[in-house]
Amino acid sequence: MIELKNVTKKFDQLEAVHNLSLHLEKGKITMFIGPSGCGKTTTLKMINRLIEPDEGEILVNGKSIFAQEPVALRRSIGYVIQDVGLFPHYSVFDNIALVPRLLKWDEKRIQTRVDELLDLVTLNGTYGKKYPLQLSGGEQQRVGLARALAADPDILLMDEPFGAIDPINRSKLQDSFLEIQETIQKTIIFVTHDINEAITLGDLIAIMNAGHLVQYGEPNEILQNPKDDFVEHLLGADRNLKALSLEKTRDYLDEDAYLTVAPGTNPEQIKQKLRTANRKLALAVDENGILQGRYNLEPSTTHADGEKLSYDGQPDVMSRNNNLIEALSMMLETGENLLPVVTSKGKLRGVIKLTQIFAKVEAAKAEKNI
Amino acid sequence: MSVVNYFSKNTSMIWSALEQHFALFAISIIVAIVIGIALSILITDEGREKLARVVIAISGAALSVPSIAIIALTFIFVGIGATPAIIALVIYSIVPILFNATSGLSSVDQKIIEAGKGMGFTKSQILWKIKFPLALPVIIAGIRNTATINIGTATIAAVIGGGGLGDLIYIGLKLNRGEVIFIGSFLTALLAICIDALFALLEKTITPKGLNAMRS
Repeated sequence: MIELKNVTKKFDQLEAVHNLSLHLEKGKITMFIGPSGCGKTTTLKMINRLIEPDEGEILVNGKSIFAQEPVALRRSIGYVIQDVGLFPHYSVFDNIALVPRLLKWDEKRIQTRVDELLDLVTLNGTYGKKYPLQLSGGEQQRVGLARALAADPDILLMDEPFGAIDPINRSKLQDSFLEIQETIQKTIIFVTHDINEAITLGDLIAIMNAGHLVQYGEPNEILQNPKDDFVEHLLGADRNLKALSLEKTRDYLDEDAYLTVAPGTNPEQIKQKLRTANRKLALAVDENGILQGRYNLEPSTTHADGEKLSYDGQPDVMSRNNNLIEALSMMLETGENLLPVVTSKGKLRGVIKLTQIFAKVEAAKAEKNI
Repeated sequence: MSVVNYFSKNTSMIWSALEQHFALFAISIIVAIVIGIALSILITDEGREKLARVVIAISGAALSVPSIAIIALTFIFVGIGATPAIIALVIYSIVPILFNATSGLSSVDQKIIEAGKGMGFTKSQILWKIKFPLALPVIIAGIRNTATINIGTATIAAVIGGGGLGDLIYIGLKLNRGEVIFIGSFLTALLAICIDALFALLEKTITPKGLNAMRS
């Protein structure tokens, strides 16, 4: 899709990008990460010729970008920057319509397209008439994304688009950004300095330092095999934990660690069953497979047999798409070491065990030491 | 009473002085606007940021040169009459217009310009669709200030034969007739107030809507 070949850029004496060769895949999000001045933004801006490289070649779909007019090239590539850069004197509608108007679309088509995009970024139609200064940071960012997508470009360049947003809204924006990408399937180059953002959003991560490409690969690969001290340092001491955020609970289901019972079963009977099966957890499931409650067999000093059965009619659950970090924090919060995993409709699929999460961390550690 | 008397006896002369004064103002300010804005656009073009800073510094300092000095210098080089008066007024008016337009154009947020460039705006689209409309309130404010200063300064231009309401004031001073001085200065002030009000209105209507929008 996008091919950088031996690209070098110098500013005066300083080499911002050194002999960079990289293949960026179609329909994937590639994250560029590294410390300030590592050349990540320079690389991004060379793709739409806001910065011209001194040496090397950049191909988009096999065609050299240097054979195209910069203005025409830029109109064919979506561009989102950190402070959004919305035009304050244009309404939201006119901001989104900018590139289609440059491309001389007819107004009817523009109207349809803007409505479609507002819907895509989950802003309703009334936003079209508002002005950028009337919007919150998150809303501005959504408009910025809609504007970049207006002419339906294949490629989207995003320069720290969520950098100025507070952490809570940032993670919301990241989620909806991933959802949007599922629909639009664009080739996205995304510059960030936040390693968590890179791991969460990236299909691929390109780590840069001092103008050099240090490591390029899938997040999992990089987390498990950081190439050198620099990458390891960048990933942070908790990179084994971070690796957990890539793992979905649906891949770690245990269907053996519990018993299922019909709702309303006699507690004494459940107690008996759990003891015979040597289990501590029974889940009440109705005839449709929907989880109704959980029974825990716990040690007790007040009961004659040394154990009591507690019931929770509204148990905490995980969804199949939650990652292991989320499962872990839910466990820490609730004090449970087993959590039922359900579908969006509430059907029981299995449980996730604390010991399994630990095992995953251990495995990652072991792999690292090889 | 003598004011009314003098006024009714010399209506046509006073009227033509007012007309002359307005002409001095209108011609000089239009020329100053065209030159001032054209210059500011030239020096705020991409890559000339240093030049823009130098011009802002110099024109800022030039603002403090007294008007009489410029009129006197024009007299030395160009002579006497309406044309030298207009030339002096143009020179005197360019400075504040240039100063405001240059600071307005160069203070447009670089991020917005970069976004425009990145989306495929041509150079002239960046100027006319982004920089100019965003700088317009500052530019108009500069012109508005300049207009009132210009009208006041035009009275001094009478010294070098510029004509206009300044003539009345000088006649009044020479003949020691207060009512004539009063009519000359009163009409000058009235003209300045009217023009200022007009520009205030223009400033209001021309400010892009989104810039006034408050966060809801």
